[in-house]
Amino acid sequence: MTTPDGGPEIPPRDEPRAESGPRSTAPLAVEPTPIADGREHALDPRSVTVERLGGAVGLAVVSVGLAIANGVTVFTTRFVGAAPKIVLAGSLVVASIVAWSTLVLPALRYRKTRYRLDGDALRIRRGVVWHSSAVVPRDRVQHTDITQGPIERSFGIASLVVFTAGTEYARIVLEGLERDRAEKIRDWLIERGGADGV
Amino acid sequence: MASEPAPEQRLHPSSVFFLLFGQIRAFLGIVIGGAVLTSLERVLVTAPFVFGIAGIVAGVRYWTYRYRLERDEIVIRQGLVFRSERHVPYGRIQNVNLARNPLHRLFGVAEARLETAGGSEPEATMRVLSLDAVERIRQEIFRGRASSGDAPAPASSPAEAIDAPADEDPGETVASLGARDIAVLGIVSDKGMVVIAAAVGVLWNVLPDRMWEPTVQAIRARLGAMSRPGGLLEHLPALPGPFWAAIAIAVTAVIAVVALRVLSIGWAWVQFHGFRLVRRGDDLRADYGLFTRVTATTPRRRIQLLSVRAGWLHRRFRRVAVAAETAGGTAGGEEGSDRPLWIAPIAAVSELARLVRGALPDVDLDAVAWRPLARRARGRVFRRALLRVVVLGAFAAAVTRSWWGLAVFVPGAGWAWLHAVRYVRHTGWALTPHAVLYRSGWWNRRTSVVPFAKIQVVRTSATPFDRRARMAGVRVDTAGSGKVGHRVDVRYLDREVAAELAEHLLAEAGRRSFRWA
Repeated sequence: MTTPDGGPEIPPRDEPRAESGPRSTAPLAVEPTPIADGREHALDPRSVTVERLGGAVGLAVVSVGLAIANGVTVFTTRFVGAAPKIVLAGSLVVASIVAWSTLVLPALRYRKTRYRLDGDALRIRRGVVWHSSAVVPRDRVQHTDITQGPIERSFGIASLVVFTAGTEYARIVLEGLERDRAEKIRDWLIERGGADGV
Repeated sequence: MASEPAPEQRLHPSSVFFLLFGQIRAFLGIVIGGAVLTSLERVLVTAPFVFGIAGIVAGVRYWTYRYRLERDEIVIRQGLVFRSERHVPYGRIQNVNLARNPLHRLFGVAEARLETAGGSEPEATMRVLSLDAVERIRQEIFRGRASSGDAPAPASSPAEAIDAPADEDPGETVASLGARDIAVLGIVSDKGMVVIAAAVGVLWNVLPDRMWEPTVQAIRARLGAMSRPGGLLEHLPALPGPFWAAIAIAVTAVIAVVALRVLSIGWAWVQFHGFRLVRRGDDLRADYGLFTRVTATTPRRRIQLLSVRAGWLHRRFRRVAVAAETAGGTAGGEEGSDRPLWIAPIAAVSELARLVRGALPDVDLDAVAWRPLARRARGRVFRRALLRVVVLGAFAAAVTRSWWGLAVFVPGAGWAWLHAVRYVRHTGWALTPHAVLYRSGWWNRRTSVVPFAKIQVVRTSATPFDRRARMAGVRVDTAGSGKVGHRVDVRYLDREVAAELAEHLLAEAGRRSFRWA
């Protein structure tokens, strides 16, 4: 058919074009889903920074609290007796634990968390001390959430929460994903081949 | 997602008021508490401030809550600082239920809950929408469906096909309990045994000997009369005081146990009188109860997990208890999801295979080949039990302040070894063409059966000790309340075996769709 102003013929849209590559023979209904490549992926590296920043807030709060506690004890006892020393020692221990979990743990967790989309399931492998891997078949995904806190948003990171019908694993969280990627995974998880009936 | 997204819509403006109302209700407790603890005027001064903040929060929540109806799903976005975007496929929504209190009616709005058939949490709760908006949502969700009700699902794969009953008899009795069975159930039920044991221990230590004196004297007098020349126990030697106290306690304990058993039988009678489980097609109907008559009907396809239990007393009487966990009641929240579905509160062991087949027709318990744990599992179980014994011994030594506490270590070690041997002997897993089975426990023996179609999530895990021993554990998650108290959670498997099992379960679960109803 020609355009109204007599321009060149425009072939109808669904005719395969000769000069296109193998892509054109792909059925229109199913897009190739590169997201489900069966390879293992790590989280986004920026998630480490995001977690550290978030943890830093907690660390700041804890530090202030400990400083106040120490200040009060020192002020009242003038550093005489066992009490202020115990409080100080305890504060140092608590502070170092919190600092470790804020600064060191995110990097460890990042290194040890992997996810994979293959066949028909989402697999998540994680664990620093205790290794575990959870696998959710696509058909068992009830619905999904993508959540972002303010820090995550400024870095473009998001968390994907997958809801299943299970009891212990009713919610499975994959945090530290790039927003775009999280959405692609979500689309792949929810899409079903054909009719979804009950 | 090439087409442009549907237009975004907001909740009804009166949502601000309802959200605020909800928060006021939450804060009211604090306000009243504050008024009681401090002073009324201080509360009156700060209250507007607090409510002002609550109002701002409610306003922000209303402003940031948006939803849109796409072709296959509803997308809900909310939050300002912490944002979330939820996608709920229409296929997962079974019902749109409304909750309306008088205030809702006044404004012509409703709280809409998008519910699955599962009786679990709703997929989404929208507060509040106008009735028109609710109707539009309903139309969009249920467009193309025959009815918006709870339609029974046709079998979608050969694996889910229901076994055609051999007899077209409209009602096949799967299980029934007579008076004798209920009596046995009462005897076997171990309610209260722990309480008795603990009470005896406490009494022994706490009550002064004075209290036992009359009983002791009475028993001594009785036995004394019997041990006089010509009596029954003529040659019974004189025994020291504490011995009589021990006898007194033992006699009391026996009386208590018997009394408890009698009460237990009474309880079983009240709860399970006239128990009958009848199968009609795919529906299992259980009738039981003396005062409150319970009639629970559940289709077999809603069984998520089948559980068999046999405690020590069960085994003495050669009985078992069989129950099932279900999910997928109507969205109104039937009590069926809270209560386990009793297949047989008590039944003869010889009936077990038939009962299991009655509930899960694809599973033949007689043909199951149990696989053992890893070879080195026994050693690990022994070491763990030994650790507990050591801790107990240390605790006993600390409490009694003597080294004799450690003497518990010798029998303790023996028990640890016995425990390890029996643990390994009675723990195992098995696969049938349609289900996975796991049994564990040597004192209380339990077996769980999960059909592949009901597997939700498969989890493999390994503690550092597991990793050192090259072992791993496999756990299967199912829908249902988890109240049965046992699940497929296999530990101490060889690493490769665990991986293979997990893969097999996933492959089988993936091949079968999960249907709520």
